[in-house]
Amino acid sequence: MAVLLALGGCQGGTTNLLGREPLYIYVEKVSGSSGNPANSDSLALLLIDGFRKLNPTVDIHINHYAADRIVPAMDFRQSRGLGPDLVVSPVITALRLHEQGLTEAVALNPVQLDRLAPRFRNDFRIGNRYMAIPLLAKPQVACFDRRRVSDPPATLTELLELSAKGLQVGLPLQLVDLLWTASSFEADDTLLQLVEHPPSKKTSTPVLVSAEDRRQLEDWLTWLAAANLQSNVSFAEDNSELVSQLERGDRDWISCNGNWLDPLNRKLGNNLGISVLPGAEGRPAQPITALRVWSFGRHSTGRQRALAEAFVLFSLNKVNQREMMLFSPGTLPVNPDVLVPTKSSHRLAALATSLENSHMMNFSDPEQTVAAARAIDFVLQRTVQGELTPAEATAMLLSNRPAAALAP
Amino acid sequence: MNSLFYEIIGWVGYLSRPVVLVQCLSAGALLALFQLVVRPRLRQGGRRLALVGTVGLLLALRLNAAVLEWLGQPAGLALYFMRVYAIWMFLAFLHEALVLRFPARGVDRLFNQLIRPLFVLLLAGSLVNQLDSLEDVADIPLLPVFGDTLTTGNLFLLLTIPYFLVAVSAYPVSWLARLLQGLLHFSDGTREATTLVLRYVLIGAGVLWLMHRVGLNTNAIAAIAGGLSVGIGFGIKEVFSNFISGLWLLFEGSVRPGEILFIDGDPCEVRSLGLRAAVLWRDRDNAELVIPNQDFFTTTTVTYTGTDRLRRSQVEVAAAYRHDPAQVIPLLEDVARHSPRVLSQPPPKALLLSYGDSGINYGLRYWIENPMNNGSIKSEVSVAVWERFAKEGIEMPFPQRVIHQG
Repeated sequence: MAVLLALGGCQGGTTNLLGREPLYIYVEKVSGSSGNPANSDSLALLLIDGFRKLNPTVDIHINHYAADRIVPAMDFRQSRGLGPDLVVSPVITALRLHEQGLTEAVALNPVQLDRLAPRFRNDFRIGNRYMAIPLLAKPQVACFDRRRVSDPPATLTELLELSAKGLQVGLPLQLVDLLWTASSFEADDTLLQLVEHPPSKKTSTPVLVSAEDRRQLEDWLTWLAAANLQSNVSFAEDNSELVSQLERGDRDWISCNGNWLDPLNRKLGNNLGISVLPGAEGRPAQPITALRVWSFGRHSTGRQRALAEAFVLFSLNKVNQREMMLFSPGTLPVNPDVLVPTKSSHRLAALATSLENSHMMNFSDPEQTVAAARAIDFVLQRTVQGELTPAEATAMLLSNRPAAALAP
Repeated sequence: MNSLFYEIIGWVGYLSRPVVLVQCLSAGALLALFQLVVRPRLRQGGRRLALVGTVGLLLALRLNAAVLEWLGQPAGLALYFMRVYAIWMFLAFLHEALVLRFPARGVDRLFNQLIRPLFVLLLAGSLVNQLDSLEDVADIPLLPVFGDTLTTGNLFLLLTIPYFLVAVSAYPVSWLARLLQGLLHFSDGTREATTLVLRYVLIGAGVLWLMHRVGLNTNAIAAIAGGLSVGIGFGIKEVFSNFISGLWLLFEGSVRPGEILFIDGDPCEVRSLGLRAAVLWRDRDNAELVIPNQDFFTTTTVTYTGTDRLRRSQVEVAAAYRHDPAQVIPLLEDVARHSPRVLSQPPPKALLLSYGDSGINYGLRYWIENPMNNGSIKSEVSVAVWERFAKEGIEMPFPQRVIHQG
């Protein structure tokens, strides 16, 4: 028994009865897409085909899980030694998996690290190891129907002016998707602090909220409440609802993220317009960019781990990153050596600009961060529905801050 | 189909992980040791010792998992093997316990038709679930059918649901029919008919649901049904005719399970009315007759259970000419009245049938409750007549021939 267990770290003996080398990958489905994730499958097949040309004995097996099922599924299989070698997921899931000890950090040498843009490295580094490795970036942009919007709004003021003239605007009602509107009022940093450092979290340095911060927050909430009073502006709790409305022609302009560009592109074709999200005068919108990242399973054999690392590095090479960028309309590469053709593509230009201006959320404590974001979503919901005035909502958002932390 | 094989080959690949191999080998070794060495010796010691051995194996499997956990290794598979064995043994003990309280035939049927197939299905499903995402395996495309793709999940449903519809539907439907009988107070025959009709409805609805769930192309099904109708016209019209006849007979109520019919001079009880044929039980020689439903449509059927279950029977007997019929007739009626299985109402009636060569022929007519008991009751009454005649000194004549020589 001990010998068999010790073999786990060895390189040999990993082929199955037919002499194949299996590699198991779990993929988290894009939230809201209940159907078969055809595009992500095609993207995966693109990578797998390329990798198997170089490693013909490798069989890659992919399992898809919904966001709420992937962590329990990992826990269930890891407890049997049947966990995957690799997981592809959003950052929050990768952090949860790591926090629960379901994935393992890996070391990358400087040459391998060159395949990752510096801005994507630090959030995942633990000492000299990486608990997750970014695969693709999915920035947030504005999507619109070109038949109805010839010139997309550049500022929030323009957005409301256009809606007053009949433009049907759809906005999300979740903080992560709505933060770009707060950036025009400079309330985004305060909101990020509220999310990343909730009061229940024991930090050594309490977060200070100044009167200026409070005013900016209230201004933003006032704008949201006013926007909702416009007859042509509506909020939706689910991004997929906004996408459906744009597809049906019920909305002319919505804010969307990279996950939705492919279905929208298939539905609207050349009528789909993409631009950067509107900001304030002289201040671009600062949305949050979502990342898809790789994590490594814990029970891989030595050979499987080596194959998993090779596959991850293969997915990060210049050629594959470029292929994925061109194949999947909402994604941008994380490899800094890939040239994004912003001059020849409005779509890629909008995505690149959005990525350049975007925030990268710091999920040092994923569960508390999610809980804090949900609490803010609830306040936003009540504010938009008129249950809370902007002042009350501001007070509620800041109420749990320690009194000492509230600067005059 | 290749995708499914690819996935299955992938499962085998997990055995390349020592942490998986250790769990499988250790549990397998314990099981093999028990089956090959321990069990044969315990079997000689009776059931109690066998039970101790089984519990011992369960503890050994649990201990195996505990040791793996203590070593910091995954032990979920080892625990899974233990649970599967525990459930298997529980079912074995449940079978033994049920056999002690209920008829063995019924318990065996329940286990063979329902519990064991369910266990195998759950075992297969849980085994796949250990290795893979059930959702993903169910979505694996196998082959094109009528322009759509048949997936593994749909094939599984197509193979299992019809079986369970046929095998399992009998239990809830029978219970429902008994409930309805309790509420509406209808006869056992009507209950049986209700059971069968409800079962057909349930199976029909289940098949329709299955077709909808699997997503079979309705245009293609319509085309097939069109083709089949030609086939029915030529090849399988007898089968179809029998099926329709069976349904008709059920609704008409002339041939229902529990009815007593007269077939070739023998009373037979209808045991079941199937899709093609009715099964009848003949008391005389304990034979089961399988008669196509269609036959009941085209031939005259004699039943004792049309409006009630009473049967009038008759024993014929002769008494010598020297006995006055006014003495014999009340005597015969009294014999019938005192027979325990002869009904008092309608009252037994004795008649003088004819003047025979050797004596006067009488007929004793009486009513019985269960037509199937006619033979044995007739025997009882005949014996009672013999005894009474002997007691009263009434002679039963035998044929006499007087020969005159010229």
